[in-house]
Amino acid sequence: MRGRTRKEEQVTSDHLEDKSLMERIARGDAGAFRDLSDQHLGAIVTFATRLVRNQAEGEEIAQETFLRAWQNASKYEPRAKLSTWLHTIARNIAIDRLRKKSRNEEAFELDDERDQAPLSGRPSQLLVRKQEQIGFQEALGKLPERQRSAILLCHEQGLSNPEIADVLQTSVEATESLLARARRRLRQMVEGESPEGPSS
Amino acid sequence: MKDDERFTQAALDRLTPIEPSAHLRRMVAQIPLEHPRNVHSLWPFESRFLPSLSMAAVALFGLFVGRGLASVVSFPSAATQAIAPAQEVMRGSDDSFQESPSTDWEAGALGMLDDDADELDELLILATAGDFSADDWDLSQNPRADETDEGTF
Repeated sequence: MRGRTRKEEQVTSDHLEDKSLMERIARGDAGAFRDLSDQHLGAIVTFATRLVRNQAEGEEIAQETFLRAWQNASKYEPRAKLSTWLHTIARNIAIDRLRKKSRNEEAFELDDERDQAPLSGRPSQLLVRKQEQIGFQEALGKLPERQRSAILLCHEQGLSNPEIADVLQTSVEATESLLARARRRLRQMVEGESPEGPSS
Repeated sequence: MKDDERFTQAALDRLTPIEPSAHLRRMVAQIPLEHPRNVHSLWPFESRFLPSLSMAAVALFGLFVGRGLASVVSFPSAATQAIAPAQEVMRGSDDSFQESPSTDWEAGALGMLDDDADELDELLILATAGDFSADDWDLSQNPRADETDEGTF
């Protein structure tokens, strides 16, 4: 029987690097914290912004995520990857904000000015692409939070199914099922097969 | 199912990743400066008082159990154990004395030989370590007391 595979060794190595980095941060090493933000800030801002559909709020969530990471660095356990840990923190903060927003009936405001990619091409093509993007984002926003998180973590953040299961605190099988349902509903909504949107 | 996956991936790929603003980068960079580590952050327990409280609780429990046991079981001290045989002998001799005050207090009354009686005297001296003075004994009833070289034993 062969020993660990190359992928497993890579995972272990990543975990050790994460652990070492977080130990330095726990000791108050500002340089290590800078390394952490350089590596993960972009991904966390993207994830949080897509989740709450507002970049200003996404940036606030990212800032709070890194503040919590700084304050709780000693509690980090290398059981999960550091990126998984950060995404979990960001998601928890985003959920709290979404709940508050839904209470205040301000949910899901699009921040189109800052959230859209810069477009190039003919005006008619630009318009079509912009409409497609808006349509997709609206459909994404209509998904239940867990399905939206699963889609973003899988297709945008590149997390594996076990890592997504860690963030969502569920089993891998449940994550796979969640992803399949989310993709199907997303496509139905974008293609107009189910205009009333998904049931949660 | 694969089509759904490809469709979702393509749609998300069309959305350009969001770049953190310069303001956010600055704010995140300031976190270590605005929230410096203090001594308490190095404390490995959740609460600063948790270890002290735990130790106090254990100490109180120990006292409670200890007192409970002390009322049920008596533990003889080493000194008590050491003099116990001598006390036993003394008690026996006193009884003999009480039972037959007129008879010889000496070893004969106890069924001992002279040598045994001498050994008993020495044992008593060792066991009591001179705690008893001659006044504690009624020497008039012990004719051998006058014969001893030492005034007290």
